[in-house]
Amino acid sequence: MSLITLKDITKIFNRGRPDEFTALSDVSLEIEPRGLAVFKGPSGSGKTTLLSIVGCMAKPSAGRVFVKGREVTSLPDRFLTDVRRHTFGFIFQQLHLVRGISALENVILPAYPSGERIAALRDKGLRLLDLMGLSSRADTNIEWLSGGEAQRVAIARALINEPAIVIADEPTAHLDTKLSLDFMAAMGRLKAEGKTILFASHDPLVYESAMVDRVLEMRDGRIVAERRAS
Amino acid sequence: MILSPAVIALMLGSTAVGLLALYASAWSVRILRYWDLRSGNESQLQLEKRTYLVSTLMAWAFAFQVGSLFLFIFTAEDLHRLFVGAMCAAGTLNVNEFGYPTILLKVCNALLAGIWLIVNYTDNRASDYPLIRKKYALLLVITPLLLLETFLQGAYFAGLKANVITSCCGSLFGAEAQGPVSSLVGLPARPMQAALIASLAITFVSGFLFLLGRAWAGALFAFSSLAAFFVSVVALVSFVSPYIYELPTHHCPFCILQREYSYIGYFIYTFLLGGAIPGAATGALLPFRGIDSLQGVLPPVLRRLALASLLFYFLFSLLVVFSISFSGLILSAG
Repeated sequence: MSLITLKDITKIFNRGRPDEFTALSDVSLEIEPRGLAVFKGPSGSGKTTLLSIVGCMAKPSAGRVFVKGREVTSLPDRFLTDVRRHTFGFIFQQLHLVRGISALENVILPAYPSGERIAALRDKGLRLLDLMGLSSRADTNIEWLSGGEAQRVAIARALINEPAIVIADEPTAHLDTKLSLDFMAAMGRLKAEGKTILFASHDPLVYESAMVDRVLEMRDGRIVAERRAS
Repeated sequence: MILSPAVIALMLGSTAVGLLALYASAWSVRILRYWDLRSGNESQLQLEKRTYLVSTLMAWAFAFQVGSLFLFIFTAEDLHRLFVGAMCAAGTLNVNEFGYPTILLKVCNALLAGIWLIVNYTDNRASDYPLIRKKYALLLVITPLLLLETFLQGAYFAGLKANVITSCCGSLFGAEAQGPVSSLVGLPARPMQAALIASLAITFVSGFLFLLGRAWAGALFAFSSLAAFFVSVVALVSFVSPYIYELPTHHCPFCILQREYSYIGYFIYTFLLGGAIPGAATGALLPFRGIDSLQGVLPPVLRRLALASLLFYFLFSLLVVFSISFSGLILSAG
């Protein structure tokens, strides 16, 4: 059974206005669990829009999305928030870490609404930072971390709610080759743990990586080609 | 027309609620005709987004609608000083022929709006919009009543002339009252006491049985809590108010809103509405207990509604018993 099913997804921005733009057009897709899939394509091809719809951050104009067999596009926001919080972890192109607070506080921030005790959250956050090799930097404010360290804090933050699916939008766009390879190695570890990983990227270092199971090429809001790892 | 701030607020509020209800009704028709959660087409997704906006707007509009009943009563009470002959809201409402129809319709609309708010709240607790058609069908029923209320209230306020000599409540609700009111005033005290005690007793017993898990008692509780509202209002005019005034011939349901009587009327009417709305809403929601997505949602909502209704009727009963017990008036059986 597929983990995520997209059925005839269309996304139109500014419908009926002069600047109407069709970002996705009739996209249907099934994503299996425990794999690493990359959506590649030029800027404006619909990769980010598709990932935000899969991650329940945006609703399509038409079509339905099923996550673990449950239809999620019709869900009112209060239910969607719960699905988003417990199913997906997000790593953004701009890391969106909060300046002025420590790495550990950034990591546990998305788990505050869960109501879990703060001591338990801190333990969980420290374990994740340790996995990322950052335990010595836990109390350091974000603005004092290097680019690679900040990237790993963002990964730890994406994992704090123990999501089944990790979504990353152009994760290596601001990283040099070494940091990009480190990032892919970290993703490889998550994949080995059984996480499903979805990337939007046009970086060959990402979509040509040996650990990628599936590459879906997008253009003009459609999936035009697909390659699976042999 | 007398342009007091409260009159302007009521006119603007009522017009806004009427216009919002019209807007919502247009979407209600589309939802009733085209809603299909299995479909992923664009118009269905548009309806799903729109219902969130419409139900949010109407929730605020109906909350105002319930509150506006009290603002209307307060305004009628406050304006009585301007009319020769008026001693309280009863005289103000009698200035023209639209006063009493307006307040009766406002009570009816406050009950319906309260029920709609509770149905909407319950629908929003479930993930698959299980009551969406029902709540929008109810909205279509309420909309014409809201528009009629806007018209009647507008006509009433427009027809308020300070030079009109009106009747005081002594003649409207006194021993010499004429018309339909006279039948309320003339109702014998003892049978009305029995009717009030019986309706409240049935409400309490069926409500407690329902809370204890006897599902069959739910329908009886819903019916009796609504019936208790009307019986209580009649009893208030018939025999409770004379105890509050300590005057056997004075039955006005509005003088109790005045300072001389510690504004007790506002408490009485709040408790009555607080008892009737959740009680009636229990009845409105009971038929949907079989819906899968409401299995975990409806039982706690029904329990809270029943509890709220019982609490408000208990407070009402307490207030009535207190008023009668500590009154200097002793009525003989009649």
